[in-house]
Amino acid sequence: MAEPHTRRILVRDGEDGNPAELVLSVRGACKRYGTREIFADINIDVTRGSVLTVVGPSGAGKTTLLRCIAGLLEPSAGEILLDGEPVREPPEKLAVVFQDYSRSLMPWMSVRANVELPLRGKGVGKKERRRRAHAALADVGLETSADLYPWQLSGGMQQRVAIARALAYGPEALLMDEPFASVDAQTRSDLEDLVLDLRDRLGITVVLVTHDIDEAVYLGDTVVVLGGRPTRVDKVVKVPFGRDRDQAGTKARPDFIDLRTRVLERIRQARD
Amino acid sequence: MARGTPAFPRPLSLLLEAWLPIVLFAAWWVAGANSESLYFVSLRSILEAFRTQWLSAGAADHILSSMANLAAGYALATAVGIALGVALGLARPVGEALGPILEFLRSVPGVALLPLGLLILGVGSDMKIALITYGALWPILLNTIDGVRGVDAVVRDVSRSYRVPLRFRLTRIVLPSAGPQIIAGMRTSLSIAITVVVFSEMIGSTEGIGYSILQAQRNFAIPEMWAGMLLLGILGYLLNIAFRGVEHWVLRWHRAMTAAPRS
Amino acid sequence: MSTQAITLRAAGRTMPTGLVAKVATVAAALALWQLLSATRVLDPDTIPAPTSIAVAAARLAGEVPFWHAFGLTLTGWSLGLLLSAAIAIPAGLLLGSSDICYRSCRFTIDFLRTIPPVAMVPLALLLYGATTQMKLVLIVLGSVWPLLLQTMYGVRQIDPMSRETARSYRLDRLRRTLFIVLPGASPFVATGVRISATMALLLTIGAELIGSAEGLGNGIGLAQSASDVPRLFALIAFSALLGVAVNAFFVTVERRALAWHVAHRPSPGR
Ligand SMILES: Nc1ncnc2c1ncn2[C@@H]1O[C@H](COP(=O)(O)OP(=O)(O)O)[C@@H](O)[C@H]1O
Ligand SMILES: [Mg+2]
Repeated sequence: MAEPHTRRILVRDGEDGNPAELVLSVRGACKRYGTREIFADINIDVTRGSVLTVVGPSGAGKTTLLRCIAGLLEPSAGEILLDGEPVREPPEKLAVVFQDYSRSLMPWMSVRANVELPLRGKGVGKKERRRRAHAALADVGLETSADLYPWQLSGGMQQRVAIARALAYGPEALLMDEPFASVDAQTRSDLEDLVLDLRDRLGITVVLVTHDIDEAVYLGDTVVVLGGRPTRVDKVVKVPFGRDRDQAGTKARPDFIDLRTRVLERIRQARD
Repeated sequence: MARGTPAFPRPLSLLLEAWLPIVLFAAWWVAGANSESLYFVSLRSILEAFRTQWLSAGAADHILSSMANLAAGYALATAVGIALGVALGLARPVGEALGPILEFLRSVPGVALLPLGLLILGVGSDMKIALITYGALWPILLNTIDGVRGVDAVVRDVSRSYRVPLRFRLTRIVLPSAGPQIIAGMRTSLSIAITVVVFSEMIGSTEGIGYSILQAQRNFAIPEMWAGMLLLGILGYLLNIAFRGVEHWVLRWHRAMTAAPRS
Repeated sequence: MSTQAITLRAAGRTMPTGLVAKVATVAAALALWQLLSATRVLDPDTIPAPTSIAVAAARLAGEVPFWHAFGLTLTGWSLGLLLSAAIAIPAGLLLGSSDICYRSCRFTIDFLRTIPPVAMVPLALLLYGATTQMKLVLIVLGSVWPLLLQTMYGVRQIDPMSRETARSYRLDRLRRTLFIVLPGASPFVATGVRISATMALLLTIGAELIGSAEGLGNGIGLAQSASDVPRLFALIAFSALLGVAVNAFFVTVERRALAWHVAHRPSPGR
């Protein structure tokens, strides 16, 4: 659904050499609480269909940054552009998956009602709502749990419901705040692969924030390393693995290990 | 209660619940039959008075009058309390600025307003309903404000980022989330409302159950006085059961969630 | 008995910046009231101006009989509450710890607590006349229930893990009650005390008003008979202030005594 007023901005370094389209960009964003500066002069560009991961230590301001991008919080300076338009309030083209899945799903609604809630606001009719919710739940492999309540599901399943809710909303880009931080290791790698799979199948753009370096490198086409005080972009790393990634193979590759070691060292240096 | 209710076999469980009321009833029946006391009369005469006074045609007026005032006042308190509570809970600065005034008004003992009610509204249903509404309003209002403010910050972020419009935000997010607290307030309010009904009928009234009880006492019709109290106990108990039924249905998700094992 | 206990949050939010707004709002409300009285929108014979209420209040504060009545109300209230606590807390501990006791008494308690205590006024008057005893009976009949129920819920919601811990360290019954059950139930008991205290004040004044026992309530009744409206308002305001003070007192005690409890810990910033 290309809107008529959308300005298309092209940048040079797309994958496979083609120019890629810029979806989201953060321009000189800065956030202060009182006199305390959380982050300063953050610049990030996200191209369509790519996965960008942001990695930084706890308390660095990752959630704050993501809330600014989502239009939930206004940056103290700088701006966020989505398809060339400045973000002033939560845009329809973005969907957020929050860190705390147990709090982000409404316990008084069934899984289906949770997924349908954003569609109600868009004025989508009942039949279409059902269809889209079903499709989104099928995308995350939960079509049989639609009538359960969130608290009847495991943590990993709850986070899948949150992802399905975001997908059903039909966004151009998905913002994820440490989405897998509080699930067990096995579930975590399943969910990581789910994100890659969704990107491949649906061509969706993903911005994912994490404190886990392996996760950032495994999922990202681009890794933005945050560090310093106030927090700044310390380094932007291009990940050269292409789209074919798998948990065992990719993580064992020498260049994966090399890359994660470099990122880790950057973070260590930034902290000192 | 979800926890700590070991499964007794059914007949045994029934016996366990019933033995004390039966023993008390029997004790009163026996002791009362030989009682010399003017005030603690025999249970038989109380039941007899209950039958003639409350199970006859003339009783309906008193009972209906009490119940109609109760229903009107309680409904009004609930409607005003929830509407105002949601508004003040959402408009946080306004709610906080009004805090001291609300705290003061809430602390006015409802009974102390009766003389004032008589003065302004005179004897009659209006005065009673106004008093019931005033008394029952505060637990609902304050609990609603608290419940609305307590809506989880993440839930608020979700509803904003998914652009849920205000009316859905109210009906599908704010009210259900504050629901358990609103209901708790409504339960406190129900017993306050019953108290105020009876109280307002004892002063400045010529009808209602409270009036009948006081009248019986003034005429030294002791069994009739006890019968009135018995009626109030029965009505109160039934109202509580009805309330619990509604609560059970409205908060079914909450009940199930708290009973579910933590994942 | 219901499945959920009420846990009223005692944690008041105090914001220094909000103080100005609060004071300003109170002042504005009073000014508006004064204006409505001055322009006779409000009939001064039924709703007097704040200034005339203030004058009446000042006059009251200079009267010895007023303070005597105030003292009687306060005594009746505090004795009644103490008595209620002495009955309700041990009974609640027992009912909460023993399932057999709980189920045996459930119906009886549910039935008795739904009889509004004011319905007992005629009986209490017959038995004791317009005395402090009459007040006490009524107060106890009304305020024993919230405290009993809260204590019981408090005991029942204690994490079975802490009981099992105590048992595995072989603490005896007395020590288990003292170190596990009482502290574990105390937040609920504290809430119960606050509800009961409010209820007790209401009943004290109600009993004085209907039963003509000496105290603030009786004063209110007399002011009404004398059609002294400003005095009536002033007395109502004093009883409300008493209510505010009672609540503030218990909230403060609760916060000190239960500083360890989640509801009183400073919330993590977001
Ligand atoms: N509303 C706020 N007021 C003041 N400080 C805040 C606020 N929100 C977050 N912070 C501070 O900003 C810092 C970054 O928080 P956050 O974005 O949650 O970090 P991260 O998600 O990287 O762990 C923290 O030190 C936190 O205390
Ligand atoms: Mg975070």
